[in-house]
Amino acid sequence: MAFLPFRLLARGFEAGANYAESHMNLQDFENKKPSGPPTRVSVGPRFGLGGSEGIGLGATVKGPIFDPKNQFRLDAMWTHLDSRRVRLRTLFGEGSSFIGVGAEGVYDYRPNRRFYGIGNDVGAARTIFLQQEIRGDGWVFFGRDSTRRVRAIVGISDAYIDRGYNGSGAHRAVETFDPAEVPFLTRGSRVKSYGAGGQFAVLNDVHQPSRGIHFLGEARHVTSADDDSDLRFDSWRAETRGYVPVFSPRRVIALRGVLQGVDPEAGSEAIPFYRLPVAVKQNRFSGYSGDRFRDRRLALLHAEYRWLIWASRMYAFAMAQRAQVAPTNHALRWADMHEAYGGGLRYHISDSQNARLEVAKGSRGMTIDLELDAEF
Amino acid sequence: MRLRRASWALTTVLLAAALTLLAPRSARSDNDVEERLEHQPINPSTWTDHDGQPTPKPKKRDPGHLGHLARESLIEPINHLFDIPDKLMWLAEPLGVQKVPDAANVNEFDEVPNSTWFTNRNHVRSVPPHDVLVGPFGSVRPTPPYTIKSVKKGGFNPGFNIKDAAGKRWVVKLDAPGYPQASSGAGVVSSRLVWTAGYNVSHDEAFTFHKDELKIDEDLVKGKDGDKPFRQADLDKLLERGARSGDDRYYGIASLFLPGTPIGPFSFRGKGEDDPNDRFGHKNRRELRGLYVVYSWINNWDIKDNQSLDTYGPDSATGHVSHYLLDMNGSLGAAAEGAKPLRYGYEQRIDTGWIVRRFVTLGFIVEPWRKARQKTGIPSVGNLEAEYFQPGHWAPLQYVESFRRMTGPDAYWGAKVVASFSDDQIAAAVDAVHYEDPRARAYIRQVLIERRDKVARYWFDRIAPLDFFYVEDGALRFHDLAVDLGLTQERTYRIHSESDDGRAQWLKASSRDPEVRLSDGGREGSRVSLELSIAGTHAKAAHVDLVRRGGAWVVTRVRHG
Repeated sequence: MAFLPFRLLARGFEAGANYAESHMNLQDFENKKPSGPPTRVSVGPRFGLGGSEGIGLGATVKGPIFDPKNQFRLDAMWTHLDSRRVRLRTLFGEGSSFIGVGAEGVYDYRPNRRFYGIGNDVGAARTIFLQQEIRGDGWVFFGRDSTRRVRAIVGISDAYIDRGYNGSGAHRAVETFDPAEVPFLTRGSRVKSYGAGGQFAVLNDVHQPSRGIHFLGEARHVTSADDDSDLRFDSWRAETRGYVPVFSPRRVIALRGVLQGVDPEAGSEAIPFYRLPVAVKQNRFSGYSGDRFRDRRLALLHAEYRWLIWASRMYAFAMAQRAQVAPTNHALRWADMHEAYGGGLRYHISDSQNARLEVAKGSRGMTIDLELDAEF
Repeated sequence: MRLRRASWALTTVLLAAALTLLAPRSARSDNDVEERLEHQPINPSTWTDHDGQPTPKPKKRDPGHLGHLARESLIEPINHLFDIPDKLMWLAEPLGVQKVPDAANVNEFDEVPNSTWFTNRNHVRSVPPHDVLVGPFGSVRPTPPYTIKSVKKGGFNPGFNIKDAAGKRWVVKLDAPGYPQASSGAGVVSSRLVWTAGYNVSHDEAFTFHKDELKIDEDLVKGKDGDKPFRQADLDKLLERGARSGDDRYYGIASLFLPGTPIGPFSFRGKGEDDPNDRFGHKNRRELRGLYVVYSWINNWDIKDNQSLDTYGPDSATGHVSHYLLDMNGSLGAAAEGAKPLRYGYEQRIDTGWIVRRFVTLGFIVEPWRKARQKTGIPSVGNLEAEYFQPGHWAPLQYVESFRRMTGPDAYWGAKVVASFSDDQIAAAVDAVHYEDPRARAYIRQVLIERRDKVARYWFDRIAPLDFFYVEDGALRFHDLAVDLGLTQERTYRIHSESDDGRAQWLKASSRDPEVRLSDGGREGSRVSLELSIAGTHAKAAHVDLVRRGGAWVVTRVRHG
């Protein structure tokens, strides 16, 4: 009887599979998908799991815009902590011409976003604030291959900041921090930006590399737009990924280094705390909660050994990481970096999606993180 | 042995009690036919199972493919992992506890009686190579022109159902582009061999056709049963996904519609609930357990419930269910997409054992399928080898309950069936394809011969292949199958004889003259039990019981392992 719940779960899983089968075209399900962009519009479910955002459910709609070389993708998600995110991305000429254009619009509403203060302190207590951002980017890219490409970018971002819902019992940031110490603690800002980005990769396999190197970079100049702030700063990010096979492509040492920063111009207001580099998503520090660290500089060094354990999709990995945020380049020191060790599983869901389950131990204990859209 | 039986008796009682408490009452207890069958004594020494008695037509079955896949690939392996009684039984095995019960449908000669599942063919009386060549339904081939009656919806290969000029209906599946005769060839060779082994299979023919020999049925063009209309442009698109020759012939396999009314796939686990003839749990049927050995030989990695079919016929007055194995295109070195992925046949889809081994060794373990030189470079063959093939570790893609419950005696039986194939019979099965690439014919034939010998050696090393016992001139005579097949040199046997009056003695015999002299005397009804083992090997012994009847000894029971 103790196994009854598991049996019911198994039965439900089986019944769910049968239901899915009866409501989908099995021919398409079983056939290998042709490589290249999708040729028709499709709708699929979307799931999310993030410490600060909660458990999310949503949908993705994607497909061609008149022609397969022009694509759109619309992602929408709502989480149980009432975070809401909608992203529309369009690409024209992707993979088919040397020059193309792209655009992205994002609505991101987070009533319980975490804030631990600015700096590298691991002991700071968690607070929350509400951040709503509407962002739009447009770019022209040069390069047919998406891993060898440069692009010119313009963008606009409108951020609204408030106290937050406080549903989780954490203190609000405005109740804990002094507005004099945290720029724009209670203020939103609207900025426009322009800049350039690019990436260059030499990889044996773009989707599951085991040998090669990959550089990614972007720099923007950001200024205030139509509001009462006076912001002028540069924002940049550089990342390098390297892959070394260990006698076989199924055993890989994967390395990653990230350096991100913001530099205000002379005479500019202090950069809003929510526009500083922050340890979240691809900048997340393993072994620590997302959003825990933010400052003008963020450096992250990550090394992991991956080995294939199932089919050609599931890898186990053991990882080590050192990472730090700091106010200046000079303040970035090996000794001050937060150390984390751990391991987990990495599953290659599709050419554009990897899931990653990571258990890591930092100086403040252990964290478990499940990422369904892992880039690395 | 006593402990083994006691443990099973205890398990059975506990299970029966639990099931009585938990299981819903069957709604079919008032079925006259079932009652009649239940009260019919079954003579265990019979060579016929009498399971073809008239029964009402069972309901159609249409189990979901994905649900089955989820269950057999994921849920059942996990379920098995947490099957605590099973683990306890495993721990107790050194004490003589038998983890899995013996097969249920075995006669006193340790054989499978003829039934609607299986017919004793090749290992009892050799099938002429010509019969192997023409297949189960004789010389029947599709005759052009062909009318497409419906289009195949599931599965990987594109295909359709046709009616040929002779009015016969066939299911056609195309080979993958670039792999002419790979999947179809594997299907034909394997189905010929499986039929020769004794199983019911569909009649498969390697098939080529020109596009202009196809005509689309008018109902299909209009769109029948709510389906979209299927027009010439759709057919052209479908044919693009098939293998084509330089002279514009398309390659595929044509399977003749089976006689009777299709009911649906059978389960390799339970039994047909509404078929009173279906008395044994399928997981306990020896022919479905021993099928593991047969399928390991032909590398039929793609086995699942949906690769089988029950049919009902011929009519409602005399109708009964017959059980067929189908769709062996995923065998030998082939898969629907052309060449078999290298892993298939060596690992299950979700193989927890290998996942753990790779995890623990940080990925440094080298799996047999990586070492095996499988890539033949012959498009009609795909990826196939015999050198690294391990008969006891062969793995179908997903979990098959009857395979998991295979015991040593079941495996021995399967090996006996496989070992019964001659080189000529194998060649005949391969010739049924009419491979256009001459390398394919030679390669497949050679690999099948090598794999057959490996299967026989492997299992005959574990269970003494002493069989076909009979009494002649006051002596018990038998065959050593390994010696008969030339797999081993001359050898000697140690025989322990014990009579019912308590006398025991050790005897010896040689493969040059494999016989045991039996005592001339003895009262009517007296019994003697013999345990025959092979000197110098670890193979488990064969056991033979005899009884004195009418002044002569008669074999009453044979068991292996």
